[in-house]
Amino acid sequence: MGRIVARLLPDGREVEVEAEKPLKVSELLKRVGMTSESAVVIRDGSPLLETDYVSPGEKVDIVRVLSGGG
Amino acid sequence: MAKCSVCGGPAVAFIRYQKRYLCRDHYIQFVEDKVRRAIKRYKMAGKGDRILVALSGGKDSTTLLGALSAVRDDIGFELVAVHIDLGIFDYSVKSREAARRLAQSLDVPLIEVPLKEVIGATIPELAKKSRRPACSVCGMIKRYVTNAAAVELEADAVALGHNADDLAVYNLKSFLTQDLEAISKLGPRTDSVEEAAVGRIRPLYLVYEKESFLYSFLRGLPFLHEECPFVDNRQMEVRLKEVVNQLEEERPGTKLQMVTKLALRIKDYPKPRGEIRRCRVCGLISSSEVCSFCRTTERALGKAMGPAVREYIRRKGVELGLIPRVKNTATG
Ligand SMILES: [Zn+2]
Ligand SMILES: [Zn+2]
Repeated sequence: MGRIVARLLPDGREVEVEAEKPLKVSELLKRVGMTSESAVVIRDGSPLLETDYVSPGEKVDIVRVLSGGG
Repeated sequence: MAKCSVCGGPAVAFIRYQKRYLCRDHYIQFVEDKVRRAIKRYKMAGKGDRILVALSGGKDSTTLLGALSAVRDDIGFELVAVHIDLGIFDYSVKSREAARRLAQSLDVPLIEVPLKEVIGATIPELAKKSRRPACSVCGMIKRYVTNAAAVELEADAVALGHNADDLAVYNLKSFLTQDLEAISKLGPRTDSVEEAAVGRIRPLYLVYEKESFLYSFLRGLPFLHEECPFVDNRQMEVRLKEVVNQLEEERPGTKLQMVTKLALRIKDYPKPRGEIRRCRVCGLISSSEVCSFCRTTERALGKAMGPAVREYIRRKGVELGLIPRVKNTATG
C-alpha cells in the first residue's frame, strides 16, 4: 500500500493519504476535506493544477488559502 | 502537461470561470489586470492621488500592495503604507517583519504604529482591561489608526485588502440578519468626510481569495501565512465561506457575480442612520460626542489616546518627508 505525505499549512500538521495509484489533485483535496477553491497543492515549490496527479511516495504541501483573521 | 492559454508556456493555474490555463507570468498579469480594471471601473483612484495601504503582513494586504505598486505608474497614483503593530505576541512580530520587507522591496514608504509604544497597551491588554472580545477591540483600533494616518497624510483614499470571497461572505451574512445598512458599506468604495474620515477603496474587489494567495506566492512576496491566535473558527463567516465555495465549485463564477451585482445595486441599500459627528477629543469621525477609540482608551487606560495617535503619525510622516504633502502637479 502506497502513501502520499501531505503537510497541511499553515498549521503544519502532516497527514498520510493511502493511495494504490496516482491521485488526481482534486481527489487528494477531497480526501483531506478541502476543495480547490479553498486550498492549493504545492509540490517542489510549484502549485499543481486540479487535473495534475500526485503519486504514492511523493510529498506535497496543501495550503489553505485563509484570511489572516483581520 | 497543460499549457498557458496565452503563451503556451507551462500552466500553473486553471481559471475555471474563464476556462483558461495560465503560466506564472500571465497569472500575475491576470490578477494585476483585475486590480487595474476595478480601480478604473469603480473610480477608486486617479492621477496624482495618494493612496494609503493598510498593510497587515498577511496575504491579502501583501497582494494588494504588490498589485497596486505594479499599476501605480500606469494610473499615476502615489503609495504609502501603514502597519499597526498590535502586540499579539509572536504573530505580530512576524507580521511586522513581513510588512517591513515587503514595503522595502516594493519601494513604498512605511509608517509603523507600535500600539504598545504609542498608547501604552497591546491588543490583548486592551481587550482584558476593557472586558471586550479581542477581535472587536482590534477591528475598532485598526479602523481608527488607519483613518487617523490617512487624515494626517492627506491621503485621497485608504486601500483595504478585502477580496471577492470576503465581500461575498459579508454580504450574505448581512443579508441573513437583514442588516441592510451593513451591506451599504460593502461596495468597491466609500466616500470621504472632509478632514474627519478618508474614503475607503477595495482594489481586490474582483480578486478571489485563492487568486490573492497565488499572486503573492508566485511573485515570491514576503507575507505571513498564519492565523491570528485570537481567530474564532466557529464564526458564521467561516461556515459561509465554505458554502460560497461549494456554490463556486458547482457554478464557476458565482463569487464574481455576487460582487459585481452587489456593486451595481449598492446605492439602493439604506445608509446607517444617525448624523456624522466629530469626536470632541480627537476631532475625527464619530457617531457620538466622543469616538469609540477615545472612549475605549479613556476607560481602559485612564486617558483618551486619539490625540497621541495623531501626533505620533504626524511626527513619523514628517520624518519620512510625507508631511507636508507635496502634490505633483508638474505633469498635471
Ligand atoms: Zn503564459
Ligand atoms: Zn476620538
